[in-house]
Amino acid sequence: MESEFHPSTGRSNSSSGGANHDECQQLKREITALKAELNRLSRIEQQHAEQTAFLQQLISLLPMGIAVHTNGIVTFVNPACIAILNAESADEILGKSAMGFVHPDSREAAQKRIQTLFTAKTVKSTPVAPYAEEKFLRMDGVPIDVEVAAFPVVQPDDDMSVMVLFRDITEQKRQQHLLLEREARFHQLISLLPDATIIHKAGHIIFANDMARRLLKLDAADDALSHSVFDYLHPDEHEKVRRRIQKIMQTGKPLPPENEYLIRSNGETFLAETMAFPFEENGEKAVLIVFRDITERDKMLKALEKSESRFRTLAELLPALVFLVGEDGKLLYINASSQTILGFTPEESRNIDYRPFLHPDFLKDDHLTQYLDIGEHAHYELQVKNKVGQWRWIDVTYTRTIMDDALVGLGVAVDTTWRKETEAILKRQAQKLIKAYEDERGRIARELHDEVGQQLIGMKFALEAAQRFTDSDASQSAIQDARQILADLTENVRELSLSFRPSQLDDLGLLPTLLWHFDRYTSRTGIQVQFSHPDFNNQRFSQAVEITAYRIIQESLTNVARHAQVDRASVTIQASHDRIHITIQDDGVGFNPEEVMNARASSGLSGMKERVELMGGKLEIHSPPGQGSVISATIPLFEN
Amino acid sequence: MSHPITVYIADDHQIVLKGITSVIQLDPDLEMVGCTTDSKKIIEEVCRIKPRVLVLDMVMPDIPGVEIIRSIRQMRSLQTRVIVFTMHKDIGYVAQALQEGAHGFVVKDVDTAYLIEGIKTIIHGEQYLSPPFTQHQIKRYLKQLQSGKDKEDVLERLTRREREVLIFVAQGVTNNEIAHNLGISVRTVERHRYNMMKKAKFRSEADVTQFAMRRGLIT
Repeated sequence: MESEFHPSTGRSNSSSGGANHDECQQLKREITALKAELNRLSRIEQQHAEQTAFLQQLISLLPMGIAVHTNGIVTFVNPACIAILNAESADEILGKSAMGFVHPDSREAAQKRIQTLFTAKTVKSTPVAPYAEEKFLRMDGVPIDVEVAAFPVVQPDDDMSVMVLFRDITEQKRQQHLLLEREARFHQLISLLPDATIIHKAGHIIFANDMARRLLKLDAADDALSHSVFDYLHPDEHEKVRRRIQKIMQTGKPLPPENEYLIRSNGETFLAETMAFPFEENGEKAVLIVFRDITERDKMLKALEKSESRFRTLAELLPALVFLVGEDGKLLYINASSQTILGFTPEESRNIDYRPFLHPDFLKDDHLTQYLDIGEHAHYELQVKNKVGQWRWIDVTYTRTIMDDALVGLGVAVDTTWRKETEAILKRQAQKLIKAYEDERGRIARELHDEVGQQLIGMKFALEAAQRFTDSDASQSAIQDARQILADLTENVRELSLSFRPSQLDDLGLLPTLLWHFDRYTSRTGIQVQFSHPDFNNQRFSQAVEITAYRIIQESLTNVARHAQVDRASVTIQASHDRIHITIQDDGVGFNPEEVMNARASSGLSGMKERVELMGGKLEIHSPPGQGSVISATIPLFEN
Repeated sequence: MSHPITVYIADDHQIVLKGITSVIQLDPDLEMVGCTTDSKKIIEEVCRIKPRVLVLDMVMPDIPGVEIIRSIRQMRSLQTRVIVFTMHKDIGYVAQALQEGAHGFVVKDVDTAYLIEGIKTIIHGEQYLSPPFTQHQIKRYLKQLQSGKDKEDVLERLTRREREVLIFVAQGVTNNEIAHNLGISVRTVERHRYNMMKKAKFRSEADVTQFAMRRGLIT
């Protein structure tokens, strides 16, 4: 082998050693191998460094909090961890006890978790402790809910290192909690609803509230949840219900209420009104059913029908006219008896407008639009025209009530034509009686005044003549006596006649008669009469009016003289275009009107009252004890 | 002596007629020229006979005395004066007769001398009243007829319309309704109302109602 100078070694190679050459070759090979190994190692190191850097970057960027603690002391934290724990920088956390960041409530669990990790102690172990929910403490002491997992990390120096991965799930937990609360409330609501509610999926009951349990008579132990809805439905309904369920599933729309027969767990059947709604429970399609027991309602409706039919029967049987009229004024019902009064059959009556058949006076008074409270009664007397055009009097009792959920007017009318006619006849007869009475008095008065009176005058003339033709003093004196007696007699007869009925009333009128009467009254009783008659200058009225007015005043003044103990009274007559008002007043002790009225029933003040009322007028007495009295009367001038 | 005064007598009672006739015939200054008991005949006879005086009973059947007096008065050509001779002693009759045109009024139950005196007085154109009547009484009576004695009365101070409105207001009737009832305009009603309240010194509707109730104008 040639010797070569290898600069690297700096020695000249001699052929001294063929053995050195092999050793050099061997060294060369070893050096080359070492270099290669070094390169490889440095590459591995670089890779390792790159990988570490990559991992570190990954760890830094991960939104999960990552921390490593060795022997209980935090040795590494990533930015996410710093953020979650609300620290300003890594320095605040590094070097501190890891347990310090675990909430006391969770410490025990955390310790256990770590223990289990290290009992395994294999490099390749997947996290033995799966994600757990624990509470951590932030830097500022605020507890947070976290989801945490831990890995053992193998360190060269065999220290116990744990890598902790955690996520802040506080918000998530809160939402979950809210959702649970809402669901709980929903269930609570359904439970409290007075309506029975059931939720079923394809017929299987998954929920039944208290009311449903009660209606279906489920005892506490009975779990409806193991039953099908059909168990509680009457067999006749099954087909119908199946179709309904199908429809809901297809259309996703609620169904209108239906009446169905349900069966309680004790076998009782009852009528229920059910409503079905599409529903979702845990993501699956279900049906929510709300139902209520309408047996009572059904009973009431039937009772109502019965009562209405009883009403109709009664209405038809009554001999009076019964009618129902709607809010709009249309006749809803009229009974058969109406035909007797009106001549129309009920069918005919319903189809006509009844307004033209009511008397105009009644319509004029707006009775039809008067407001009546429900249950309040109104009473009307009016005339209606029947089919043949005759006017009949009817007495109507009318009220408003509710029938079939609507406001209706209910009236019962009785034909009072006969009664009214009788009343009119009686009234006319009473008037005739009074007239006859007055006429009789007038007749007597006239007889006395004219016949007897005149005869007395005749006697006077005769005596006068006799006196003229007598010489004898004795005769003269006797005749003179006779003349005196005659004069007295004449005066008495005149007084008597006038007391029956003053002729002035017919000849001169009311006013002169009253003036005469007051004069006479004052001279007989000493009571002054203050007379005021505005607007009344001796107009003449009908005989009935004048005589009645006179009698009222005559009677009232007599009353004053008898009871009042006064020396003055006042009389006022006021005439208007259709009536006269009369007042007789005194300031005396007053009297008890009832006593006076009752004492002399046929004449006197009560008689006056009747007479005035027969004429369509009024007479009132106000006499508070000790406050004087006022008698006031109104007499209409024209008969209605 | 000049002609006797011609007298026609009308009275529906035969006895009275005879009595008057004999009294008249006793007086030389008077002459009865006719008489009747039938009121329907009076005018005709009077027109025919033309007596200077008619002695007339006010109240005869068929034709009322006032009508006869009025008819005679209306006949200007007739100079006949009427003296009423009657049973009625009420001043009202006197006033009525005189108003209608009679010249004298004598009641039957006083001495017949008054009748004679009356006949002789009225031919001179004077009015004659037998006792118990006086002209003063007649004046007083006529005044009473005109209005009430009480001038102090509130009602007297008001006009007729105002009184009518008063009654309506006392009853609570609205102005519109009053106008409708009386057939006048609402403005006129308001005017009457205002005046009425003012004259009567009413302060409110309640005052009006109270007053009307007290006076018995409303019940």
